[in-house]
Amino acid sequence: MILRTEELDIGYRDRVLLRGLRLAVDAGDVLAVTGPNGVGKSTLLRCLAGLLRPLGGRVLVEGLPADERSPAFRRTVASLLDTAAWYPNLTAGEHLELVRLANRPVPPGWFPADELAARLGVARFASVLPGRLSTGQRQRLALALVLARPSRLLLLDEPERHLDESGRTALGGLLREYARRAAAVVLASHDPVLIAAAGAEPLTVPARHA
Amino acid sequence: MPSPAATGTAGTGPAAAGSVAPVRSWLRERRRAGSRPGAHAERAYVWLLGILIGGAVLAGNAPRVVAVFSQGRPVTPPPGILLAIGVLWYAAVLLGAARLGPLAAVPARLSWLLPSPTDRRGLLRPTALAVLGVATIAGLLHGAFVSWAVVAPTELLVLLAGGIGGLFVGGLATLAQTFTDGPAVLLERAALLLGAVAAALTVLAPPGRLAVVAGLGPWGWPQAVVDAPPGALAAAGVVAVGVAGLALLRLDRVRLTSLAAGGTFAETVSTGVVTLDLGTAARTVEERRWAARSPRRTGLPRLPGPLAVLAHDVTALRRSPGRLALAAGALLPPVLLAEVAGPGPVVAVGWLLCGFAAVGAVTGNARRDRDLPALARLLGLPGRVLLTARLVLPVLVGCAWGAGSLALVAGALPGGPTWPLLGAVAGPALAVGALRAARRGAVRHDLPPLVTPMGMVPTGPLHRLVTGVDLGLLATLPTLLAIGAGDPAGWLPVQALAALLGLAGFVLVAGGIRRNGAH
Repeated sequence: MILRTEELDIGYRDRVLLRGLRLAVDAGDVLAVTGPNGVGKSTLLRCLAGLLRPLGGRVLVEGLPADERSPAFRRTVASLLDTAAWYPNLTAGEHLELVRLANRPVPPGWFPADELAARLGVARFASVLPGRLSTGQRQRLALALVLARPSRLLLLDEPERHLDESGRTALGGLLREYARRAAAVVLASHDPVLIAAAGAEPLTVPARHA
Repeated sequence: MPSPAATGTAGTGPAAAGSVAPVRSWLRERRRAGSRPGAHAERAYVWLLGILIGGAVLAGNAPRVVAVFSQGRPVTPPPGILLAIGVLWYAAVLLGAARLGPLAAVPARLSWLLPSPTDRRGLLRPTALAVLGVATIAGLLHGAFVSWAVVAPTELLVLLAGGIGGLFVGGLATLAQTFTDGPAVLLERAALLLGAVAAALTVLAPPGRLAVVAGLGPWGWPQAVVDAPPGALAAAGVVAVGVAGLALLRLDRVRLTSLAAGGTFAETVSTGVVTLDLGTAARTVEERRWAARSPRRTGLPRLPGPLAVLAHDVTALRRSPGRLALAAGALLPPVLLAEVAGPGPVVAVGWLLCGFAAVGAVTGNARRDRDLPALARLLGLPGRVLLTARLVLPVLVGCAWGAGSLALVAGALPGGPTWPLLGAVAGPALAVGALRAARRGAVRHDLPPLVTPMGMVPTGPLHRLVTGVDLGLLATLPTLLAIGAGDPAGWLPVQALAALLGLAGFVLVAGGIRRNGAH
């Protein structure tokens, strides 16, 4: 089991968003968390990524408690949660090189950088600095980067934002392939096209009633 | 697309962190490859020019500095006051550390480097060394001050004790970040505690034994080293290096979230400085500060018209007790300056700036009304009525702070109970200055530049810098003159008149300006 949560309570000190959540995500699974704004989808992803402590319960990644300070956890989990940031002095292609270098060793057979760049359309602007890219192009680059690093659990928060239809279709296909590499995906999304393209199983978080 | 290098696989089992060296050398190489031809020569030229100018300035002023340090103070300030200054200095250092992390990372590193399995200790080491270096410099400055105030000619051991104290505090602050998720809260509380100790040392003048206990911290080491056995300083040095070393060893325990807050703050402020748009930077910092909170009690009191605006100001103040603590902390520097330097322009300027800082804690809403006119339009009040309503709380805080600060100064200068009265009367004048400063908006780049022999000097930033201080200085001039002369006699009615004129003039003129700003 790649990801398991046990009686997970998430939220903030004075506001509990989700109570007693039990999740089991195995290799090959793609889970799409859906639901209205403010129900806690992003907070759940931050918790799974080890960036936010749960109010109660546990998050286990490959059997160990989620802790982003552990190198083993960082080798397993790749996430794209908030808006990504850039080195203004590195081109799109150089960002890909840097991410591959920082995450070495890259196992043989992992998504080749060239292929990712071609499928997400990054190859067209590989030699351009981020400051000159459109918002959609930056999102394509961020997705290429997060897929370029080897991992077994991919956490994505609304990865469809700023993407055109071809971008969303390409992403859906890539997520399917990612899951086939004995890995799992959890994404929060409002886009039924992407959810269908990724072959994701939906998990709807209901709105809270006061 | 060049294929990425899959090098450096040694020691990268699933639980081991990757080495930071290949990443660092790759980044260095890219930087070198990306720089323009001649960039090296340009950098070397800038460095050389900087060293030459800096050297010339230092050489020109060195005799004066040496003279100041070899003469020292004619009268040594009381030990309690000296200790209070040290404690307050370290409170400010900790407050700075809380704002910056003290360890911080720029968003790009947070997005792509720090979440990778690359060794976090190695990635953070340069930042940690910089933090320890800055803390040591802060300690050296404290040591130099003590050396000037107590033992002339300057004694190297006193300086050294200051540096060791700084390293110790910097190491502790960094170490705190390796243990807790929210180092800012811990460091802010420590700063608050130190502020309270400084206040107690200043106001209560505790008996010797208590002062000795308070002096055991690094803020007391430079004074203590004068009489202490030489081994004590060596022991303190070993402890400081040990704490700093432990902090460096535990860098892999630092969480990403604690690095993000300081990085965002530093980036906002540096962008504000580079683009000369400190107003927007301050607004962003303020918005982030509030975004991290969730008020326990919600709802405004049901008051009509302008009173609702006042209720808004009071609610904002009630929800930020830290601002009140800052205003209270600003009571101390004027009296400490008066104790060390005696009456004079230094104390007067210090009093004015601290007054602005204290009243500035309650002018945030007025700044927002000015910067975002849509908000002011929503309130639907005439300009002068809105401004008057926004002035009430600053005037009250100004009066209380003025009275409090000069009541403390009264202990150091002759003049008795007239001082707090004068301070209270000067309160509205401080409020007028602080409110004008809050409502100054963005830097005006349309102002004509000054042509000087050194080149063109833009006047916009200068204009922004003095807006607010100008009116505040004019309206508090009687009090400033009284502080400068060390005698409040006769200034009370003049100050009352100046404050009233300043207040009325500001409301009439600034409240009458109609703005249709689009920002």
